[in-house]
Amino acid sequence: MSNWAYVTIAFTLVWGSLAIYALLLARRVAQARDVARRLQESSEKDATACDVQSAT
Amino acid sequence: MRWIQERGTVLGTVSLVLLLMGSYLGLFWAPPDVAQGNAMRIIYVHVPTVMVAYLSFFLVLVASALYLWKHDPKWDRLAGSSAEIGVFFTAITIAVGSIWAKPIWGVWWTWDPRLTTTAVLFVIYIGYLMLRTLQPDPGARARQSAVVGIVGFVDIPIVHQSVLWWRSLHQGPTFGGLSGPTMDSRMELALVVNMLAFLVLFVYLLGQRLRLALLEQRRDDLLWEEMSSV
Repeated sequence: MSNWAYVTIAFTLVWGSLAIYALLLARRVAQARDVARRLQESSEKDATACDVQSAT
Repeated sequence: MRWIQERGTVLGTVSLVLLLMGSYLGLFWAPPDVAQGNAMRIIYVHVPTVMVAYLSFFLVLVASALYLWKHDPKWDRLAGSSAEIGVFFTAITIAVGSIWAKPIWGVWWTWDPRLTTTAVLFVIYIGYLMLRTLQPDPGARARQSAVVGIVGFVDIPIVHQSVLWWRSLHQGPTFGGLSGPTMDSRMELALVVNMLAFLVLFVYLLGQRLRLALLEQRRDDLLWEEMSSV
């Protein structure tokens, strides 16, 4: 293999792994945000149900 | 820390532009090396990635010490986030170094002092991340990982000095010598641009990782509330 082949492999590896890590991180943030929102909504719903129950 | 998280788009765009610029300068603008030829161009990604790894682990050290002192969870989140990025960049450093070693040394890997101490560094922080995953109690996890984060940093000066302390195949430090860098000015500029690009990229990734850590903590708090109310 020529020196340029090694350089190409190295740069592709760096760019590729950076892109994969950045995408995975963005996906993990989106998933965590979604879970936190759902849990927040469910806890608010529970609190409202408890208020209605105690009022009746 | 909030400042970094709020400027994600700007930091991401700036780092992408700088990375493209740095790659162009390193691949096409800077001259080839007299001894190594074009294989030397790998330095433009190898040195910046190891620089980011060192910086990440230094942040782990500082944040761990601050956590043990202040007991504020934000320092634990910073340490954990920084360690993950550090491990990622150490893995890239080792892989790229191995690709560089093949045309220059004739082997993909050798148990040279610099390579061995870097592999040890990688294993230490993999252990740190495993500890964070395996310890279920948040308080104990933060305390124990803070101790590992401080002790683990001891390996960084050993990695850096390994090329001076022992007979090594690896070249000496690129920067930090008494006489300064001994490179062609165009090579030096290409390297500095790439280092700057990776530094901005690190800040961007840290902001994203911190955001994730905060969301995960909020999720755990809500789950805990829900479980205790049942």
